[in-house]
Amino acid sequence: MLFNSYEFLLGFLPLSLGIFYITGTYSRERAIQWLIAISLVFYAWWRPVNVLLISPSILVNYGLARTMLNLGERRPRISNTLLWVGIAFNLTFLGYFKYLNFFEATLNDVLGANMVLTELILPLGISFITFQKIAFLVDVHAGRIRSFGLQDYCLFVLFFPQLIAGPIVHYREMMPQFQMATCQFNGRDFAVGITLFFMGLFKKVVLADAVAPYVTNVFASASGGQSTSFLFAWLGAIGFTLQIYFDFSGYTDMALGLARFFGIKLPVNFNSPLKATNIIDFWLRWHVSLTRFLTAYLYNPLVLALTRRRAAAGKPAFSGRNTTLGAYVTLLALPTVLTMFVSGLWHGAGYQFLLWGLLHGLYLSVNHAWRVLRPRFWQGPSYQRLMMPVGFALTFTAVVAAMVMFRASTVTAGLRIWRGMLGMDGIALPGAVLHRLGGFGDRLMTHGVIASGASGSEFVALAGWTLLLLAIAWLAPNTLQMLSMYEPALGVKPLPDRWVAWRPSSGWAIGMAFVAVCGILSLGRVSAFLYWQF
Amino acid sequence: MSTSRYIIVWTSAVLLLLVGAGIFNLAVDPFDVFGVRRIDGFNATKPQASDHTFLAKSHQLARQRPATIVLGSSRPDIAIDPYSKIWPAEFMPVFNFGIPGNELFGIGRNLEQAAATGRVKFALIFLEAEAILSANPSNLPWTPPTPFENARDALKSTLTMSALGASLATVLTQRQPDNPDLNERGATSEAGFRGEVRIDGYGELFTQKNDWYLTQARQAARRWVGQEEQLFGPESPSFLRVREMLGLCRLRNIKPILILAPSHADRLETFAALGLWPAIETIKRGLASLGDEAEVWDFMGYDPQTTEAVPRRGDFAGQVQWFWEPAHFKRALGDLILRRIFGEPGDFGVLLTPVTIDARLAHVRAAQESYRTMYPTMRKRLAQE
Repeated sequence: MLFNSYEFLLGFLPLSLGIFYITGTYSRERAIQWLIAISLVFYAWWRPVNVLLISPSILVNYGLARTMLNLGERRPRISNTLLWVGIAFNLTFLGYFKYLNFFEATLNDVLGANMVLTELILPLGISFITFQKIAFLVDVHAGRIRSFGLQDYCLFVLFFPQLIAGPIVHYREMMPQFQMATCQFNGRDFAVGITLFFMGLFKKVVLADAVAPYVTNVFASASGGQSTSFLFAWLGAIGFTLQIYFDFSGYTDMALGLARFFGIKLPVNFNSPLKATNIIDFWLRWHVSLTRFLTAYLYNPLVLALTRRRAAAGKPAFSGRNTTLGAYVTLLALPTVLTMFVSGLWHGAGYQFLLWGLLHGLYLSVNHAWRVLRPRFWQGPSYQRLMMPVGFALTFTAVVAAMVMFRASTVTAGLRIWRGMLGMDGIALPGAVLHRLGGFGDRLMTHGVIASGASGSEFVALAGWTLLLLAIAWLAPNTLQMLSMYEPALGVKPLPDRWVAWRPSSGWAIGMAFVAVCGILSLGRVSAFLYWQF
Repeated sequence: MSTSRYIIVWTSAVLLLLVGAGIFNLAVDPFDVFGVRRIDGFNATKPQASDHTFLAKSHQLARQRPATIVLGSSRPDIAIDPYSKIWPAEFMPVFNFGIPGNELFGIGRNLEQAAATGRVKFALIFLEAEAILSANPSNLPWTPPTPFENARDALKSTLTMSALGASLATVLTQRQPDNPDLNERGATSEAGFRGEVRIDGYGELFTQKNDWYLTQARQAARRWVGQEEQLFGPESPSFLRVREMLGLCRLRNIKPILILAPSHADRLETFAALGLWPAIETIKRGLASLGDEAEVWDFMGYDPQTTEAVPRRGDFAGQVQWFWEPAHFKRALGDLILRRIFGEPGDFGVLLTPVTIDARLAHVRAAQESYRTMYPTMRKRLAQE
């Protein structure tokens, strides 16, 4: 069931909340059980078989974690083995459903094998659920989780606001909240919840979905083998970057709002990433819960292991400005590229996602190298003054260029868009637009701009929406900033910018009602969240 | 303000805004779903309905319950006037159910939908060659709308952003002369084309559309050149669908009149240059073979109307009497078609029968040759493409 659907908004949500609040006034325990039950219904709505597929995995993970907990520190070797068995089980589960076809297709491509690709049902949100279960096992093994029951575990895995596409949460940040939750109606949480939810709905159905059809046409044309001219290529690439930002951050806001209805605060996932001034900054603002997971459970252990190996071999470690090339490559570039490769693979079973991940690994490595090298030759205020705008422009361009691969149906289609962005397929404007420009249009034509048969109204719509969304992404405060006085996500601190601060007042109520109505009126078309496919 | 009070104000504002939007949309009725009274200067013309023709016309049809139904694509939608004085009395009232982009199987669905009203006595079916070349057999037969579908249409026309945007656009653009209007009898006005011609001129419009139709015709050529029997042979899905439609007409006592619509010679030359002429002739032969099952009119030839000269690009003063662009003919030509069908003598259009078909094909081929001699430019341009 989509958050942006009539059945969710007018049926599932009011019913779930109503019974939760009523039950909560009599029995907290029953309210929690109701929450688990409705989460299962939510998960099964799309395809009931999803529940059958995911249930055995939940039970196996729970059994392994319980055994590790019972063993405690008495039998570390068995506990270690159980952890690796758990990780292998989860990755195999994910791999079977998500990557089997990709693996077989790759073997067919590389070795000329003739394996028949089978159509598998991909359980919804499997990538997110798998990461959460692995994190849980690692935390139990490390002794960071000391007690839990089956009900707690089910609630942690199945809690429907974040079940399908995150934010990826840790057990230790969720369970204390559930234990403290009153399970009763709370005006403050509800007011914050509706504000977050409907701002998210607005971002998704009014902003992201508006630009989506025009972006789709640009990429579909590249997939169909047609060359893409300079302006269309850039507008398509920037348009998609904005589409996915408003789509996914809108979804996250809705998830934050839904969780808040139940008195739960989810972690931050987006913090105006398109305002980032370098690529490291970008990843601290974009899909933050994924960055946090990959850093904690992949990047850090990898760096630790490599550092130990280098230390054992008597080689220098990473040491700020005095870092050697060997230390940089082994302890920074390699783990970074590897982590982003995994991130790419996690996002999708396709070469284009791997390329997207590798590109970001490369960007991050260059950014880190710059941080090491730059202080050696350039310090002082002129750096900040000059590099802030340059870094901003560079980061935005790099992110947009990489996003092309994220959206393209194949690497070849992505390369076609890149060619267009480099101007290798000429600069064209729809004839209808060019001819309406009068003398200026004629001057453009003398400078090599050609008139194409593309639809003029579609070009104007794509350009118009792209500019509007860019202005919002760059100039407007984000949801977390607006609601910072009310901790909209875990750990968000109040900001001093009071002029944009949401507060319970008539003006805000009417403004937010307008936003909500725009969202509700835009529910007519069915449009899944981009990240639900992962 | 307390949060509880905030929630009350917010909820009241949401409900008020939703109800307000719903009432406004209902009053404007931008897609003509409810048949609300048209008020001059407020909602008299329905430009947005012409962008949602199927939704609008389905509801108009249910309200109008016409004696005559006009079926086809955007070409009859624009060019056939249901209010024309030429219609004989027994044909009135007429409803124009032309749907832009329609192909054969879609037209079949529209016929089924119209027949279900129970009042239709005549059906003018514009079975254009293009509708058969782009036929889509996966377009399933029509089924009556369920109450859920009707409720969805009502919701779509009142409580959606697109309806609200359409209502605002309807009210704000009432005085614009280039606003196409979808009238109560389902016909779209020519205002949209008139505006395009004023801005771009006929020459530009013909050039742009020729390019577009060339792309479309290329797709058809890839599919059908050398496959004429599969296209419209006696056992082909398209031919069987036509027979099925005629069977339905017999069952419901509807008199079918099949019409091959006129195209400008530019477009006919495009078909010919891509090797599609045998396909066109196969379609004509197939329709002629229907014999007594239907009256079939062929207006797809090289006549003084279809070979009319087109001004050059950039010539904004030059006029074209019969066509807006190579495929869309004007109401003047639509009226001429009606006159011919209803008995006025003339050379434009021929009744196709097993007896007349060979002479007609030979005549068109001869006219095609003489046209090429007189106007070699188009042929040369296509050869270069």
